[in-house]
Amino acid sequence: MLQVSTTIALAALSIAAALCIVRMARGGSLPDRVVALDSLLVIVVIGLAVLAARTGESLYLDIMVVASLLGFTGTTLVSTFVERRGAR
Amino acid sequence: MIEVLASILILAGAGLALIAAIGLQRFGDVFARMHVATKPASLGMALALTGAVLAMAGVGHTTKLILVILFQYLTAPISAHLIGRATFRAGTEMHPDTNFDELASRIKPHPRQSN
Amino acid sequence: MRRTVTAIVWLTAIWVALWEDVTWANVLSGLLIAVLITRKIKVVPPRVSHGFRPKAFLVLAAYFIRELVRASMIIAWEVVTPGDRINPAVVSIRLRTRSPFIATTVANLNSLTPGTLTLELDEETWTLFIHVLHLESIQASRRAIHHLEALVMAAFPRRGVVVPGAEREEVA
Repeated sequence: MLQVSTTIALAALSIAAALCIVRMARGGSLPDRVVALDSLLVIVVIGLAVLAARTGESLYLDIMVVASLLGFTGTTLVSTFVERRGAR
Repeated sequence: MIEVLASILILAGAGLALIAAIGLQRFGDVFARMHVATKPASLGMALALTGAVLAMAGVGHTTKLILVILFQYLTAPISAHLIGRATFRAGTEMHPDTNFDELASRIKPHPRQSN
Repeated sequence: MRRTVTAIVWLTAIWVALWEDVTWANVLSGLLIAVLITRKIKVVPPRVSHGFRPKAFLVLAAYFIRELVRASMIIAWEVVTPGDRINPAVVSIRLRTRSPFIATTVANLNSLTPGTLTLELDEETWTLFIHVLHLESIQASRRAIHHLEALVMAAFPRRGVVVPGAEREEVA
């Protein structure tokens, strides 16, 4: 049961990640890309949790903690940068 | 039984993340994309992590997952706010808005570095 | 001083919780890192101190969770159905509170409620600027924020000004 559901979840997350990357590439402006990057990091965190549930490895949880911290820090830094440089 | 509940939560979380990603494509306005990308993503993450807690069922792991959920809920609004504020100050193109001038007149323009 | 000790205790507890193993090495390394952090980053007491009411807090938590789920459902519906019926606006709201903690909490919680996103919080005039995705009316949006603010004020009742006269300058 868990195998099937985690497989489906991982497939859905892969599609979501691909969509985020498309938005990051197409963009429209810099903030669009920042939002896409933030969503991508959240998707990575969810994916790690799903993997942890699927394999039972606790290593994925540690990676997840670091990923969420880095995601927040990165988004904050880039928004400060956008505020100064202007969106292009 | 626990497995069924965990599976439902994980699928719901992944589904919400997918909705957030589709929303990024659907909407044209940068602020609308911010709305659509941050809210379902946060809820989806909480659901998926709760499902993972149930699936793993170890006391030590629960602490880490709860810490991540708390951290996410403390910081997701902040990052959404920072992006929104930076976008507004940078003067991006917006959908035709009402009440726009209430904010625009109050902002002191951020000193731009010359590029 | 007391706040710094509390901060050190909490930081060490989180460190040990992340390692998931209560050994002397973990606790001592956590203490060391906590002390280093609190030396670099000053623990500043809030300008206005607040109490905590558990019952009101639960009411706030229930409201927040309900709004969060509602937000995701609304967005899911919008994404799946065709059509682009957004009606965005930037609305300004005068807050009734004068405490930075409550204003920050309202601004943060508001970003996750359906249809609104916090843009700016003006500390001089205590005005909150939000971006609304579907504007029914300005009054409706303001009423929603005032409701949220009332819930937060009920959960964290104001006890008094800790640092009087320090509204404008930084507390070192």
